Amino acid sequence: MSVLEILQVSKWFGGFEALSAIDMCVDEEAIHAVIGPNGAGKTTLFNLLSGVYPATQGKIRFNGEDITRSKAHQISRMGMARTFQNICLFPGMTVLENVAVGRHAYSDTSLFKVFLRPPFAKSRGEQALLERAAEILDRVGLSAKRDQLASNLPYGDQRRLEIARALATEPRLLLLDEPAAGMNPNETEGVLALIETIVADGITILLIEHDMKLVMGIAHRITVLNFGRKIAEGTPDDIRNNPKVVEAYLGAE
Amino acid sequence: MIDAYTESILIFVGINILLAYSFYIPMATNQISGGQGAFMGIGAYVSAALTVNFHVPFALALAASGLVAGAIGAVVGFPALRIRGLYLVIMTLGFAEVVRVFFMTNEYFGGAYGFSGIDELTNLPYVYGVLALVLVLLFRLERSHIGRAFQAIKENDLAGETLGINVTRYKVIAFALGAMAAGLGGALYAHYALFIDSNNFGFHRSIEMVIFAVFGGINALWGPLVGATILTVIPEFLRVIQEWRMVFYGLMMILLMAFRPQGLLTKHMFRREKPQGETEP
Amino acid sequence: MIFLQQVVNGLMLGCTYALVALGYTLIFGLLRLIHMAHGEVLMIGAYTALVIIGYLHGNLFLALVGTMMVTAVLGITIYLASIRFVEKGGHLSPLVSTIGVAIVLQELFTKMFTGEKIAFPETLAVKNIQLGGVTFSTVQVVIIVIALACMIVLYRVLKGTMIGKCIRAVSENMETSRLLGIPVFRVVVATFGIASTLAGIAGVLVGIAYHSIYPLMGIEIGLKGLAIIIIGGMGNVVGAMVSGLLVGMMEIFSVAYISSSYKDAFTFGLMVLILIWKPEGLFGKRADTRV
Repeated sequence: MSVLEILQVSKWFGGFEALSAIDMCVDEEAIHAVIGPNGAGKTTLFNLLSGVYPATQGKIRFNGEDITRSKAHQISRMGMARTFQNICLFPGMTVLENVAVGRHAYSDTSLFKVFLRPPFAKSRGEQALLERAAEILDRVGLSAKRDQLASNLPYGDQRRLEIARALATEPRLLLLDEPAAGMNPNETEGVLALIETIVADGITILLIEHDMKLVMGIAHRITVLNFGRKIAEGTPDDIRNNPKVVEAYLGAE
Repeated sequence: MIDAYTESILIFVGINILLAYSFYIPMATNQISGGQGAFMGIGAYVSAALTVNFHVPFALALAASGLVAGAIGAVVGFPALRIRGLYLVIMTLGFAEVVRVFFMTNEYFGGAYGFSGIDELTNLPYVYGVLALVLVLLFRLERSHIGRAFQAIKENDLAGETLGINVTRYKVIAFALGAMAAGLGGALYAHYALFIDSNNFGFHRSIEMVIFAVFGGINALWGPLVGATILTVIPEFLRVIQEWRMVFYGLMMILLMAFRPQGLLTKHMFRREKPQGETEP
Repeated sequence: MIFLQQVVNGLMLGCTYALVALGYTLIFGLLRLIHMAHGEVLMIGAYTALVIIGYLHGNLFLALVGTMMVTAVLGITIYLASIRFVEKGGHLSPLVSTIGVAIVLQELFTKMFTGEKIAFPETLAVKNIQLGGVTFSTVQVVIIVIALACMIVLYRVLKGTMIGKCIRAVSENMETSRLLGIPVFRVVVATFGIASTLAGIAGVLVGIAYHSIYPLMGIEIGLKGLAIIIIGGMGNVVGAMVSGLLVGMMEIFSVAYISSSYKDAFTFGLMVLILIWKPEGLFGKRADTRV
C-alpha cells in the first residue's frame, strides 16, 4: 500500500514554477530518497507535503486521505512528521522540553481542564507526557543532555534532537530534510544507524540528502528532481547509471 | 489598617500588574499588541455603564467587562493572525485609535465629556482577588502543555505547527486572554478613578503597559509583576524629580533596550539543574 | 464652488500627509525598521523653522534649509543611538527604544517651549487668488508646490539615481546587497536622512498651514502616517504619496460633510479594513513566503 501518493503536483511562486507536475509514490516501510542539485525543488516538495503552503495544482494523498488542502497541524496529527534543512529547534527550551512539544497532540488539550485542575496536583497526564518524551530521548541517545538548552548543543546533537522531536509525534511517515548535512563520516554513520532503527519500528522514511554514499547505502527507492521536474526514479542501481542524473549533477559533456 | 495613601498605591500596583500581563500574554505567542489600552477602555466603559446605568453588582460587572473585552479580543485576534510582527504593531495601534474615537464620539458613553458618576467600588480585596485569580491561571497555563505550546509558537511557530500545534487557535486564545486582562484592569480602574474619558485609554496608556512588561522581563512569567510594581512605586519616591519623570522613563527605555533588552527577569534565571529527574521549567 | 474648495483644502492636507508617509515608507517599508519617533522629527522641524524665522529673523527659504539640515542630523542620530544596535532583539526592542526617544523629545520641547500651542510666525504675504470660483490662498499654493516638488524629486532620485537603486537593492535583500559591494550601512543612514528631511519639511508646512505648533503635534501625525502607509502599502513610494493625498481628501470631506469628530476614525478604520481585506495595501503586491 502506498503511504504517500503525489499526483501531478505543481507549485508556482508568483511567476516562478518551483515544481512541475510531480508524480511520486512512497511505499510503506520503505526508505525513499529524493535527490537533485540545489534549487531542484526538494524542500519545496517537503513543504507542500507537510502543509507549510498549498500546492498550486495536483493532489496529495496520505494514507489514502486527500491532504492537498489540509493544514500543517492537521497533517501532523494524521501521522506525518518532518525535520528541517536549517534546524528549527526551540532554542530557549531544554532538550527534553523540545521533545515534549512533539507530544502535544497526545495531551488533553482543553484549556478549561488546565484551569480547573485541583491545586498542587501535578497533572498525571503531564507526568506521563514527560516520561514518554524521556523515553524517546533515550532511544536517540541524548538522555544525558536532557536539561541542557537546545541552543547549547553541538551541531550533530541538534540534528539528532530534531529527529527525536519529530519521532515524539509517533508518525507513520517521517520526512528528513538533509539529516546528515554538515556531518563528518562518524556522525553520518550514526545518522544512518538511527534511520535504520526508525524503519525497523515500522515508520516510513522520505529523505532529502546530498550525501550520495548515505543515499545509495540506505535507500530502497530514489526519485531525482532537477529544475522542479522529476527526471528519474528507481533503485539505487538504476539511478547510479542513469545518464540524465549524471548530467544533472555534473553538467552535459 | 493601612492609610489611604498606601492603599491607593497598592491598588494602582495591582491594576498595573494586570495591565502589564495584558501585554505579556499575547507577547508569549509573539504577538506585539500596541493597542491594549483599547481593551482597557472597553472594560472600563462597559463596567461603568453596567454599574451606573443598570445597577449591576460590581462582581458581575467585573466579570462581564472581562468577558466582553476578551470576546472583542478574539474577534480582533483573527485578522491579526494574517499579519506579522511589524504590521501587527501598527494595526493594533490603529485599532486602539479607532476605539478611542468611538468612545469619544459616542453619546451613550459620555462622548467628549467622559463618563462620570462612577461609584468607588474597587478596593484591595477586589483588586488582589482578581489579580490572584489571573496569576494562578497564568501559572497553571505556563506549566502545562499549552504553556509549552505558547513558547513553541513564540520561538518557532512553523516548527510548532508541523508538530501538531494549532497555532491559529492558540494565538487567538492568547490575544483574547490578554484583552480580558486589560478589560478587568479597566473595570477596576474605572471604579477607583470614578471618572473616565477616552483619553485615559489611548496611545500613552498602551505604551505604559508595554513598558511595565518589558522592564520587568518580557520572557519571564513574573517579569510583568516585578516591572509593574517597581515602575508604579518608584515615581512615589521620585516625587522630588516628578517634573522630569517622563524624561526619566524615556531615557530608561532607550538604555534598557540598548543594554538589557530582555528586561530584569529572564526565563531561566532561577533554573535549577537537577542531576537526574524532573526538569523545573 | 464649495466642493472644489474642499478639494483644494484636501490637497493641501494630503500633501502634508504624503510627505510624512513617504518618510515612513522609506523607513518602515523599505528598510523594515521600526521608528516611533518620526513624528517628533517632524515636530522638531517645525520648531527649528520657528526659531529661524521668529528669533533669527530668517525667511522661509532659510527656514526650510535649516530645518532640512537639523532634521537630517537628528534622524540619523536617532537611528544610530536607538535603532542600529538594538535591532537584534527583534521588533520589540526598537519599538520600545524609539518610543523612549519620542517621549524624551516631547518632554524636552515641552520644557523649552511650554506644552501650549505657540504661534507660528507669518512667513508669507497672504494673498488670495481667484481661479474659476475657487479661492487659493498663497499659503495653500506654497504648501502644495513645495510638497509636490519634494515628491517629484524623491521619485526621480529613487528611480533614476545610483543611491536610489542602492536603496531599492538593500530593501529587497540586505545580505545580497552587502555581498554585491553596496555600502549597506551608508545607504541606510542616507535613507534615514532623506526620510527625516521630508518629515522636517512637512513640519514646517504644518506650521504654515495651521499657524501654530505644539510639542505633542508629532504623535497624531505620526500615527496617521503609519495608517497611511498601511493603506497604500508599506514600501510603496507611489502608494504612500497617493494614499497621503487620498486620506487628506477623505478627512477634509468628512469634516465638511459629516462631522469633525469622526475624521480620525475614518482614517484608522480604513486602515483596519485594508489590513483585513488587502493587507498588502492598495498598491502593494502579495508576496509568498518561503521556508
